[in-house]
Amino acid sequence: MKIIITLLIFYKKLIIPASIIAILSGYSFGVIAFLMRADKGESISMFSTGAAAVSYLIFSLVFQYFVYERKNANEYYFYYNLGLNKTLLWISNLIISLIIITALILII
Amino acid sequence: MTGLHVDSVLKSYGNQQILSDIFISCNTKEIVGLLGTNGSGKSTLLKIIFGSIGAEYKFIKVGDKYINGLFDSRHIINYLPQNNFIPNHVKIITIIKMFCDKESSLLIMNNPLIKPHLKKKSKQLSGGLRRILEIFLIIFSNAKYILLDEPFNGVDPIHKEEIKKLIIAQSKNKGFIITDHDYRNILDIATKIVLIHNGATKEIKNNDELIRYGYISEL
Repeated sequence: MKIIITLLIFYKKLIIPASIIAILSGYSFGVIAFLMRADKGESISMFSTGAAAVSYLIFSLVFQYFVYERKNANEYYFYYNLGLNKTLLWISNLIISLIIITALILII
Repeated sequence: MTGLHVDSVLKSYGNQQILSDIFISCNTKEIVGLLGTNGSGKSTLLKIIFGSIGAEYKFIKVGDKYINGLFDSRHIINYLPQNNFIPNHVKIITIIKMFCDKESSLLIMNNPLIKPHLKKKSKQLSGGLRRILEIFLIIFSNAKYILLDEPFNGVDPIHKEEIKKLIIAQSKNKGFIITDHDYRNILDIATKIVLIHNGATKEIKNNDELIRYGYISEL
Protein backbone atom coordinates (compact mmCIF):
# COMPACT_ATOMS: atom_id res chain seq x y z
CA MET A 1 0.00 0.00 0.00
CA LYS A 2 2.86 2.37 0.91
CA ILE A 3 4.43 1.76 -2.51
CA ILE A 4 1.20 2.72 -4.30
CA ILE A 5 0.86 5.93 -2.24
CA THR A 6 4.53 6.73 -2.95
CA LEU A 7 4.00 6.23 -6.69
CA LEU A 8 0.89 8.41 -6.62
CA ILE A 9 2.84 11.17 -4.85
CA PHE A 10 5.50 10.88 -7.53
CA TYR A 11 2.92 10.91 -10.33
CA LYS A 12 0.87 13.80 -8.90
CA LYS A 13 3.41 16.35 -10.16
CA LEU A 14 3.20 14.99 -13.70
CA ILE A 15 -0.52 14.41 -14.24
CA ILE A 16 -1.66 18.07 -14.48
CA PRO A 17 0.96 19.36 -16.96
CA ALA A 18 0.73 16.16 -19.05
CA SER A 19 -3.10 16.40 -19.07
CA ILE A 20 -3.05 20.05 -20.18
CA ILE A 21 -0.73 19.26 -23.09
CA ALA A 22 -2.79 16.18 -23.98
CA ILE A 23 -6.05 18.18 -24.07
CA LEU A 24 -4.46 20.93 -26.14
CA SER A 25 -3.00 18.37 -28.56
CA GLY A 26 -6.31 16.53 -28.75
CA TYR A 27 -8.16 19.72 -29.75
CA SER A 28 -5.38 20.96 -32.05
CA PHE A 29 -5.25 17.73 -34.04
CA GLY A 30 -9.05 17.47 -33.91
CA VAL A 31 -9.53 20.95 -35.35
CA ILE A 32 -6.89 20.38 -38.06
CA ALA A 33 -8.56 17.10 -39.05
CA PHE A 34 -11.97 18.78 -39.00
CA LEU A 35 -10.82 21.62 -41.26
CA MET A 36 -9.15 19.21 -43.68
CA ARG A 37 -12.24 17.05 -44.07
CA ALA A 38 -15.02 19.60 -43.56
CA ASP A 39 -15.27 20.36 -47.28
CA LYS A 40 -15.76 16.64 -47.99
CA GLY A 41 -18.89 16.70 -45.89
CA GLU A 42 -17.60 14.07 -43.42
CA SER A 43 -18.74 14.31 -39.82
CA ILE A 44 -15.77 14.10 -37.47
CA SER A 45 -15.06 15.09 -33.89
CA MET A 46 -13.19 18.31 -33.05
CA PHE A 47 -11.19 16.35 -30.45
CA SER A 48 -8.65 13.73 -31.46
CA THR A 49 -8.53 11.06 -28.74
CA GLY A 50 -5.59 9.33 -30.39
CA ALA A 51 -3.51 12.50 -30.49
CA ALA A 52 -4.39 13.27 -26.86
CA ALA A 53 -3.43 9.76 -25.77
CA VAL A 54 -0.09 9.79 -27.59
CA SER A 55 0.69 13.30 -26.31
CA TYR A 56 -0.14 12.27 -22.76
CA LEU A 57 2.17 9.28 -22.93
CA ILE A 58 5.05 11.26 -24.42
CA PHE A 59 4.66 14.33 -22.22
CA SER A 60 4.32 12.42 -18.94
CA LEU A 61 7.82 11.10 -19.66
CA VAL A 62 9.08 14.49 -20.88
CA PHE A 63 7.76 16.15 -17.72
CA GLN A 64 9.43 13.52 -15.53
CA TYR A 65 12.70 14.50 -17.16
CA PHE A 66 12.16 18.23 -16.59
CA VAL A 67 10.34 18.14 -13.23
CA TYR A 68 12.49 15.51 -11.51
CA GLU A 69 15.75 15.01 -13.41
CA ARG A 70 16.33 18.72 -14.08
CA LYS A 71 14.44 20.77 -11.51
CA ASN A 72 14.03 18.62 -8.39
CA ALA A 73 16.73 15.96 -8.69
CA ASN A 74 17.15 15.86 -4.91
CA GLU A 75 13.54 14.72 -4.51
CA TYR A 76 14.61 11.37 -5.86
CA TYR A 77 16.13 10.74 -2.43
CA PHE A 78 12.63 10.78 -0.95
CA TYR A 79 11.70 7.86 -3.19
CA TYR A 80 15.06 6.11 -2.79
CA ASN A 81 14.62 6.14 0.99
CA LEU A 82 11.20 4.58 0.54
CA GLY A 83 12.69 1.74 -1.50
CA LEU A 84 12.03 2.92 -5.07
CA ASN A 85 14.89 3.44 -7.47
CA LYS A 86 14.98 5.64 -10.57
CA THR A 87 14.41 2.83 -13.08
CA LEU A 88 11.33 1.73 -11.18
CA LEU A 89 9.99 5.30 -11.14
CA TRP A 90 10.45 5.66 -14.92
CA ILE A 91 8.76 2.31 -15.55
CA SER A 92 5.91 3.10 -13.17
CA ASN A 93 5.38 6.46 -14.90
CA LEU A 94 5.09 4.66 -18.23
CA ILE A 95 2.69 2.04 -16.83
CA ILE A 96 0.44 4.55 -15.03
CA SER A 97 0.32 6.70 -18.18
CA LEU A 98 -0.63 3.67 -20.28
CA ILE A 99 -3.39 2.79 -17.81
CA ILE A 100 -4.72 6.36 -17.91
CA ILE A 101 -4.74 6.62 -21.72
CA THR A 102 -6.33 3.17 -22.06
CA ALA A 103 -9.06 4.28 -19.65
CA LEU A 104 -9.42 7.56 -21.58
CA ILE A 105 -9.81 5.74 -24.92
CA LEU A 106 -12.32 3.28 -23.45
CA ILE A 107 -14.41 6.06 -21.89
CA ILE A 108 -14.40 8.30 -24.96
CA MET B 1 30.47 -10.78 9.73
CA THR B 2 27.86 -8.46 11.21
CA GLY B 3 27.18 -4.78 10.69
CA LEU B 4 27.88 -2.54 7.73
CA HIS B 5 31.22 -3.06 6.02
CA VAL B 6 32.52 -0.80 3.30
CA ASP B 7 35.81 -1.73 1.67
CA SER B 8 37.92 -1.10 -1.44
CA VAL B 9 35.84 1.72 -2.87
CA LEU B 10 37.28 3.24 -6.03
CA LYS B 11 35.72 6.39 -7.39
CA SER B 12 37.03 9.01 -9.79
CA TYR B 13 35.57 12.01 -11.58
CA GLY B 14 37.31 12.37 -14.92
CA ASN B 15 41.02 11.96 -14.29
CA GLN B 16 40.75 12.81 -10.61
CA GLN B 17 40.71 9.89 -8.19
CA ILE B 18 38.41 10.91 -5.31
CA LEU B 19 38.30 7.69 -3.30
CA SER B 20 40.93 5.00 -3.50
CA ASP B 21 41.60 3.27 -0.21
CA ILE B 22 38.41 3.17 1.78
CA PHE B 23 37.52 1.03 4.73
CA ILE B 24 34.67 1.82 7.10
CA SER B 25 32.71 -0.46 9.35
CA CYS B 26 29.68 0.46 11.38
CA ASN B 27 27.78 -1.70 13.82
CA THR B 28 24.59 -1.18 15.74
CA LYS B 29 25.20 1.12 18.72
CA GLU B 30 27.99 2.88 16.82
CA ILE B 31 28.06 6.46 15.59
CA VAL B 32 30.83 6.82 13.04
CA GLY B 33 31.91 10.41 12.47
CA LEU B 34 33.18 10.88 8.92
CA LEU B 35 35.42 13.91 8.57
CA GLY B 36 37.28 15.39 5.65
CA THR B 37 38.06 18.68 3.99
CA ASN B 38 35.82 20.18 1.29
CA GLY B 39 35.82 17.98 -1.80
CA SER B 40 37.47 15.06 -0.01
CA GLY B 41 34.63 12.74 -1.05
CA LYS B 42 32.51 12.40 2.13
CA SER B 43 29.17 12.90 0.37
CA THR B 44 30.29 10.79 -2.58
CA LEU B 45 31.20 7.96 -0.23
CA LEU B 46 27.85 8.13 1.58
CA LYS B 47 25.99 8.08 -1.76
CA ILE B 48 28.03 5.07 -2.90
CA ILE B 49 27.22 3.22 0.33
CA PHE B 50 23.53 4.09 -0.09
CA GLY B 51 23.66 3.00 -3.73
CA SER B 52 22.46 6.18 -5.39
CA ILE B 53 25.72 6.61 -7.32
CA GLY B 54 28.03 4.00 -8.68
CA ALA B 55 31.74 3.41 -8.21
CA GLU B 56 34.47 1.83 -10.31
CA TYR B 57 34.72 -0.80 -7.58
CA LYS B 58 33.11 -1.30 -4.21
CA PHE B 59 32.57 -3.95 -1.62
CA ILE B 60 29.64 -3.17 0.64
CA LYS B 61 28.01 -5.70 2.89
CA VAL B 62 25.39 -5.58 5.63
CA GLY B 63 25.64 -8.80 7.59
CA ASP B 64 25.79 -11.44 4.84
CA LYS B 65 24.01 -9.32 2.25
CA TYR B 66 25.96 -7.59 -0.52
CA ILE B 67 24.80 -4.06 -1.30
CA ASN B 68 25.24 -3.28 -4.97
CA GLY B 69 22.67 -0.54 -5.38
CA LEU B 70 19.48 1.03 -4.13
CA PHE B 71 17.50 -2.16 -4.62
CA ASP B 72 19.74 -3.99 -2.16
CA SER B 73 19.95 -1.17 0.38
CA ARG B 74 16.21 -0.51 0.56
CA HIS B 75 14.83 -0.72 4.09
CA ILE B 76 18.37 -1.46 5.38
CA ILE B 77 20.21 1.81 4.76
CA ASN B 78 18.62 5.26 4.68
CA TYR B 79 20.38 8.44 3.66
CA LEU B 80 19.86 12.08 4.52
CA PRO B 81 21.26 14.18 1.66
CA GLN B 82 22.78 17.62 2.18
CA ASN B 83 19.86 19.43 0.55
CA ASN B 84 16.11 19.23 1.13
CA PHE B 85 14.59 16.11 -0.37
CA ILE B 86 10.95 15.92 0.72
CA PRO B 87 8.41 16.84 -2.00
CA ASN B 88 6.73 20.25 -1.70
CA HIS B 89 3.24 19.08 -2.50
CA VAL B 90 2.68 16.48 0.22
CA LYS B 91 1.25 17.00 3.71
CA ILE B 92 3.67 16.56 6.60
CA ILE B 93 1.43 13.97 8.29
CA THR B 94 1.39 11.82 5.13
CA ILE B 95 5.17 11.95 4.81
CA ILE B 96 5.70 10.96 8.45
CA LYS B 97 3.36 7.97 8.14
CA MET B 98 5.14 6.82 5.00
CA PHE B 99 8.61 6.89 6.53
CA CYS B 100 8.07 5.54 10.00
CA ASP B 101 6.21 2.81 11.84
CA LYS B 102 3.28 3.71 14.09
CA GLU B 103 5.34 4.19 17.25
CA SER B 104 7.97 6.40 15.62
CA SER B 105 5.29 8.34 13.71
CA LEU B 106 3.61 9.23 16.99
CA LEU B 107 6.94 10.36 18.45
CA ILE B 108 7.52 12.75 15.54
CA MET B 109 3.92 13.94 15.39
CA ASN B 110 3.95 14.76 19.10
CA ASN B 111 7.19 16.70 18.86
CA PRO B 112 6.34 20.30 19.82
CA LEU B 113 8.17 21.63 16.75
CA ILE B 114 6.33 19.43 14.27
CA LYS B 115 2.88 19.10 15.88
CA PRO B 116 1.48 22.51 14.82
CA HIS B 117 2.42 21.87 11.18
CA LEU B 118 1.07 18.36 10.57
CA LYS B 119 -1.68 19.46 8.20
CA LYS B 120 0.61 21.79 6.24
CA LYS B 121 2.50 20.92 3.10
CA SER B 122 6.26 20.82 3.36
CA LYS B 123 6.67 23.91 1.16
CA GLN B 124 4.93 25.90 3.92
CA LEU B 125 7.68 25.10 6.44
CA SER B 126 10.72 27.27 7.03
CA GLY B 127 14.07 25.94 5.78
CA GLY B 128 15.28 25.06 9.28
CA LEU B 129 12.07 23.31 10.29
CA ARG B 130 12.02 21.40 7.04
CA ARG B 131 15.55 20.23 7.73
CA ILE B 132 14.61 19.15 11.27
CA LEU B 133 11.64 17.19 9.89
CA GLU B 134 13.89 15.47 7.35
CA ILE B 135 16.37 14.53 10.07
CA PHE B 136 13.55 13.08 12.20
CA LEU B 137 12.21 11.09 9.24
CA ILE B 138 15.55 9.49 8.52
CA ILE B 139 16.61 8.96 12.14
CA PHE B 140 13.29 7.35 13.07
CA SER B 141 12.91 5.36 9.85
CA ASN B 142 12.95 1.59 10.01
CA ALA B 143 16.39 1.27 8.39
CA LYS B 144 19.12 -0.36 10.45
CA TYR B 145 21.89 1.93 9.19
CA ILE B 146 21.53 5.66 8.82
CA LEU B 147 23.79 7.91 6.75
CA LEU B 148 23.55 11.59 7.64
CA ASP B 149 25.20 14.08 5.29
CA GLU B 150 25.67 17.38 7.11
CA PRO B 151 22.45 17.09 9.10
CA PHE B 152 23.03 20.26 11.12
CA ASN B 153 23.07 22.63 8.14
CA GLY B 154 20.51 25.36 8.80
CA VAL B 155 19.54 24.04 12.22
CA ASP B 156 19.71 26.44 15.18
CA PRO B 157 22.01 25.56 18.13
CA ILE B 158 19.28 24.55 20.59
CA HIS B 159 17.78 22.05 18.15
CA LYS B 160 21.22 20.78 17.19
CA GLU B 161 21.59 19.61 20.78
CA GLU B 162 18.16 17.95 20.70
CA ILE B 163 19.05 16.15 17.47
CA LYS B 164 22.37 14.97 18.90
CA LYS B 165 20.51 13.46 21.86
CA LEU B 166 18.05 11.76 19.51
CA ILE B 167 20.88 10.28 17.43
CA ILE B 168 22.53 8.92 20.58
CA ALA B 169 19.20 7.47 21.76
CA GLN B 170 18.44 5.87 18.38
CA SER B 171 21.94 4.41 18.13
CA LYS B 172 20.88 1.78 20.67
CA ASN B 173 19.20 -0.07 17.81
CA LYS B 174 20.94 1.42 14.77
CA GLY B 175 24.31 2.30 13.32
CA PHE B 176 25.03 5.84 12.15
CA ILE B 177 27.58 7.33 9.79
CA ILE B 178 27.51 11.09 10.02
CA THR B 179 29.39 13.95 8.38
CA ASP B 180 29.40 17.63 9.25
CA HIS B 181 31.62 20.58 8.45
CA ASP B 182 31.65 21.59 12.09
CA TYR B 183 33.78 18.75 13.44
CA ARG B 184 32.80 19.61 17.03
CA ASN B 185 29.25 18.40 16.33
CA ILE B 186 30.75 15.09 15.28
CA LEU B 187 33.23 14.81 18.15
CA ASP B 188 30.36 15.36 20.60
CA ILE B 189 28.46 12.25 19.60
CA ALA B 190 30.71 9.93 17.59
CA THR B 191 31.91 6.67 19.05
CA LYS B 192 34.48 6.37 16.26
CA ILE B 193 36.07 9.00 14.02
CA VAL B 194 37.18 8.32 10.46
CA LEU B 195 38.96 10.93 8.37
CA ILE B 196 39.13 10.91 4.59
CA HIS B 197 42.63 12.05 3.67
CA ASN B 198 43.95 11.91 0.10
CA GLY B 199 41.16 9.54 -0.90
CA ALA B 200 41.87 7.09 1.92
CA THR B 201 40.16 6.58 5.28
CA LYS B 202 42.20 6.95 8.47
CA GLU B 203 40.72 5.93 11.78
CA ILE B 204 41.41 8.73 14.24
CA LYS B 205 42.40 7.61 17.71
CA ASN B 206 42.99 11.01 19.26
CA ASN B 207 42.34 14.62 18.35
CA ASP B 208 46.02 15.37 17.70
CA GLU B 209 45.82 13.15 14.65
CA LEU B 210 43.32 15.60 13.12
CA ILE B 211 46.03 18.26 13.34
CA ARG B 212 48.68 15.88 11.97
CA TYR B 213 46.56 15.09 8.91
CA GLY B 214 45.96 18.80 8.36
CA TYR B 215 42.22 18.69 9.01
CA ILE B 216 42.39 21.33 11.75
CA SER B 217 45.15 23.70 12.79
CA GLU B 218 44.48 23.48 16.52
CA LEU B 219 41.82 22.18 18.92
